[in-house]
Amino acid sequence: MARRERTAEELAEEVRRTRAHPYGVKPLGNLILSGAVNCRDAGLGNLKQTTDGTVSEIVSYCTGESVALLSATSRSFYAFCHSDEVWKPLTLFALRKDGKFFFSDNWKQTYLNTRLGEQAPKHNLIVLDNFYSDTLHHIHRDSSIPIPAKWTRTNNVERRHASSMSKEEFQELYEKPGKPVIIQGLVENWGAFKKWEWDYLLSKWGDVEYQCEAARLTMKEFKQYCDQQCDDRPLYLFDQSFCSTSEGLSADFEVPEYFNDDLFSVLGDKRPDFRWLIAGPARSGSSFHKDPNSTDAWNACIRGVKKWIFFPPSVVPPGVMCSEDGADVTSPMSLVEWFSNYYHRCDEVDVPPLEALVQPGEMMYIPNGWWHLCLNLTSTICITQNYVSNVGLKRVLSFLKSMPHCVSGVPCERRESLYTDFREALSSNLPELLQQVDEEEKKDAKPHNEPLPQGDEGGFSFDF
Amino acid sequence: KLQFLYFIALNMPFTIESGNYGTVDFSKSVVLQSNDQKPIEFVVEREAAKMSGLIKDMLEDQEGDDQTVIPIPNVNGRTLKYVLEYCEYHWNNKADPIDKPLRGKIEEVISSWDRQFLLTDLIKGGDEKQHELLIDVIMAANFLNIKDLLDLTCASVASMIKGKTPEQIRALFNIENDFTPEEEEKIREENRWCEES
Repeated sequence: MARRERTAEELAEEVRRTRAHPYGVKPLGNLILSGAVNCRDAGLGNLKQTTDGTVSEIVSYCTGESVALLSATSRSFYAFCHSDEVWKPLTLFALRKDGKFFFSDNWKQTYLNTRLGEQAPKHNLIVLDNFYSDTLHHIHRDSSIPIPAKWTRTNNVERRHASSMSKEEFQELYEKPGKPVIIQGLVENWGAFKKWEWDYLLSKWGDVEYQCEAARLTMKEFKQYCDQQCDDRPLYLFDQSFCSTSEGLSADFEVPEYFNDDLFSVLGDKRPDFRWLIAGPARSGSSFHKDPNSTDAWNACIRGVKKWIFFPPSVVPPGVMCSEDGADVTSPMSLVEWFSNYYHRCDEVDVPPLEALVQPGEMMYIPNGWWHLCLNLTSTICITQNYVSNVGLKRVLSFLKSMPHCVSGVPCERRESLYTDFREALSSNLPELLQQVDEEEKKDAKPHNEPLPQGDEGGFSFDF
Repeated sequence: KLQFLYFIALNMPFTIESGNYGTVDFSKSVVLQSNDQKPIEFVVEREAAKMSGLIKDMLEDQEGDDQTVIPIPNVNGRTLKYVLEYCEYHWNNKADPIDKPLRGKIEEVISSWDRQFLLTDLIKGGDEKQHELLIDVIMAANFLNIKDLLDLTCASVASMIKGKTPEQIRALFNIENDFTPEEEEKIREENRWCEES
């Protein structure tokens, strides 16, 4: 996939502001200009004809010891074995077996810290002067290029102020038709908005563990990582248990009235995961996805600036590979990589995306079914919740019934039964609502009995 | 017809006389041609061929009964035979994913079919030094975009690396040691912990 061509000025600016590759890896373009010899092939031996991607794939199956010893065979393998892509998953894996996380300098050093604690040797970087690879260099470039202004220019999601919008109006204009909107005047009144600086958070919850992708880290450990890292795809704190693990935290925010019909609450603690504390450094975020179980969501930006991109449900975003059953996802690219390769192709899509730059104190409403991506431009802290209200109940029940294999947020064994469990809980707690929804469903399913007006396609349709 | 049954029984991809498509049922199968001077033509079930992301994309716009004959650049007959053998076995019998990092040796975490597939000819007679076909299959799997086969073969190479010293790894893969003595010493010092585990 060729990157969009940059202008001479853009390239010069990029070079000026980008830090050098820590191991001296250079892109292939430099090789052509310099006439030097690439040490890649000689150092790969019988594997020299395979692609860089394949060599990296081989390394990804190796244990920490194997990678370390492999890196000693040649300069070429040294380069392949010292990518953050290699040592980050190995570190997260080592953490599961009782390591102590302490991020310092880079992921290899951090791995050594985790495995060996006090005995960890100092990782001495060897700078190679004759290794050229686009694949390895791109990862580095993604981690260090300044984020171009053009990625953040478009800001066309509607903004409304809570003081001038009733719940009914919100439901009529945004929730029923499914339209993203940014709501101001809510988050800025929260305790979180006033108090949540890192000093405060660390003093209260610094030793509490949070889910950070595949690892569990304390807030202190995570913050220390954030300050030191220069990843192309930084670790993201994304924790669904924070209200029970972090005493007092839930008092610092409140669910706005617009979203307080939270029907999954009838399931009590059998409900699917529904709220997350999210924090991450610049370049972290979420790549394109649709929210689980056909729910709607809100995302409150407490600290930092977030770049959002939205595509309507029927438009697959550029660069997104949608497998037939939605199950298979190959190793996802970093957000920076997506922006570098695919952002400009948004112009070619039939329906241009909605985009927004969300500031602290603002809340994004994410309608169900919409593709969305979020890139943190600075260090950010947010709270997000998914919900289903009266407006969406029929649709969600329909989803749970017809796509049990796509249900998420509950243990595997309960996915197939979430539909019936939810119905049961609704009929105990909100029988009239359930009855109403069932009646509507029946009406939708009735075939037409009267003759149709001219030009109509006929037949009946389901509303998912 | 007897030849047909013979090949099905041994689960080997079925080759035909060049251009002789008389026996081919194009509603169910496609013909793939290797890149040899004299191409070898393989008859493969359509569903098996679609394990290749590359071929799957090509077939997307196709009507069922078209006489589909696809030349495969970059892959010779010897390699293609094994690639297709894998596809014909696995297209409706998906292999379990292989954990990263590898737990133990590759033989311990794959099915017996995959074990035999790997250790008969790809790693000839189970002798690690004889891995030429393995590397050819890696390149073919990468080119044809057959994820599970690429995973299996890459994990196999990782397995061969496991437990070896740098000197042994170099010998196995004919790797040139292009470090300066100082660089080598630096790395060896840093790697002392590997010896202790």
